[in-house]
Amino acid sequence: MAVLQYDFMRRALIVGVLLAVIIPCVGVIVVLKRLSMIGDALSHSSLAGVAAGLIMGVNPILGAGAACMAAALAIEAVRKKIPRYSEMSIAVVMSAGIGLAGVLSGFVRGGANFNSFLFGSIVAISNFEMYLVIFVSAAVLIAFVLLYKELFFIALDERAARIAGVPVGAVNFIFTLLTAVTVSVAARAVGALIVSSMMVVPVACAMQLSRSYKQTVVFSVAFAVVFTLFGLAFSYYARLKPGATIVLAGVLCLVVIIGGKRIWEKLSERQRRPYENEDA
Amino acid sequence: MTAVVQAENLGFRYGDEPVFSRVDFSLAPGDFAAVIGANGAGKSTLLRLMLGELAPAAGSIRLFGCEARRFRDWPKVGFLPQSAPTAGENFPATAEEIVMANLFASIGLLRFPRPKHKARVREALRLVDMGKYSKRLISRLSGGQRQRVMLAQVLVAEPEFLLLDEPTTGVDEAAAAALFALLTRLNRETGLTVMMATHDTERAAAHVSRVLCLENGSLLELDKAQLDEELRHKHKHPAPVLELIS
Repeated sequence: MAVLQYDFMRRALIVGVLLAVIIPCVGVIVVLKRLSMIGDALSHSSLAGVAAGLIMGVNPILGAGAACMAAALAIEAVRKKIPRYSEMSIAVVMSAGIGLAGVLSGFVRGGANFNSFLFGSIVAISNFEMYLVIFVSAAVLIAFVLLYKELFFIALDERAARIAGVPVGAVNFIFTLLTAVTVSVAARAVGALIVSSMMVVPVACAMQLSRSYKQTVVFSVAFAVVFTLFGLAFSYYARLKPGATIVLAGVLCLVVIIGGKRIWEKLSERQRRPYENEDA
Repeated sequence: MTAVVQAENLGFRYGDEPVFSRVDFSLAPGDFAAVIGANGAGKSTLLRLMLGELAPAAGSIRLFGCEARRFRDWPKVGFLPQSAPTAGENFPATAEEIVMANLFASIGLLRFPRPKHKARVREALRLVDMGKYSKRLISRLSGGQRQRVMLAQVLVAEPEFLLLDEPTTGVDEAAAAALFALLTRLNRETGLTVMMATHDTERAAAHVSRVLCLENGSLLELDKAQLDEELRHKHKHPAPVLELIS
């Protein structure tokens, strides 16, 4: 465990594992609500907040958080106006976010800090940022556990949830805020361009293997933690970007699972056939 | 006794296009009613008005004595949508988890299910003959089985009034027959008030106690003779095209 002798690697490990726990919790609901692109829209919008923060001399993570929340609320507002084409709201907000980030980035002095938000810099996390991640993770996790059945019902059938008395508007609003703060803290660590993959890939892997909703949540978190640990270790030794390595490990795992599942299904089908013939 | 549903001079229009007007009817507790009518006659619209999802253009519709748009006691009402056979097609949840979701009112906000809730879920699944599939992913069930799980989800909350939108659409003959038999049994044994929008006039006529027909923008309750006439009319299918050509 020579890799953990450095402070920056220990901080990276703590932040990485905490994010690996909370991002898939949000990701499960995002995927099941068919809003997978929301992570992209929020993370791209967060870049506008990062640029604004750097220009005004405010911590860029706080700027990213404010931009993410504004973007998330805008998505909800547009989604309510055009419910039949709700995915359009994501495209509209993402375009506005990218546009604003592009314009504001032109006014940022020394682009290195801004660029570090594109692919993340988990090993360059400061103590303040680590404490922020710990606080946000605790808040997201508590909210997710307390709203577990409400979020499940809304993701399954929003109309039925409303009829059953679930305060759909309030729960959706809280979830939107949770998504926004998760994306804004994750953008610093794994990168704005990668955070949405972290939201979707572990969930996609879990959905291939799970046999219940609860399993999907547990497996998603487990996959994300494994990808993070592997990605951090591998990127350290191979001198790669950690955020990108974590996501690539996830995508590779998903390909292996899908391929393995197909082979397994074919083999089981072949094993079943002789008995079917005997019956015939 | 308060009517379960009471519509008075009810009218609705989509923009400038009227759907129906001057609709008057009421359902008493224990009624088993079917709303029949051609496509676009407004059957689903009538259900959506009852659920408070649409506002009447004229008149009023009340649920348990309260204006539908202001009604808040939703656990009293169960609703099985037309999409029930395809519900949760790609959703990674078991039948048990899906049924448990509708116990929200009983469990409470920010609280967790207790053993009594799990027992109620098992009982609801057993009632619709899906007990042995409780741990199965909903995506691995057939359309008819999925519909039964969704019905269990509605019944688990022990509603007093059950609304169904085209419940025999997308399910096979056997599943449709089993559904009607179950609804009849529930209506007789528990006094559950049932109202369904359906195209299946023949089956409805054999099971329900009242048939309401939406036609040409108005609602008419059919008596026995009118219902027989309706059934005869429905069976006067035009000659097949090939027959006409030959």
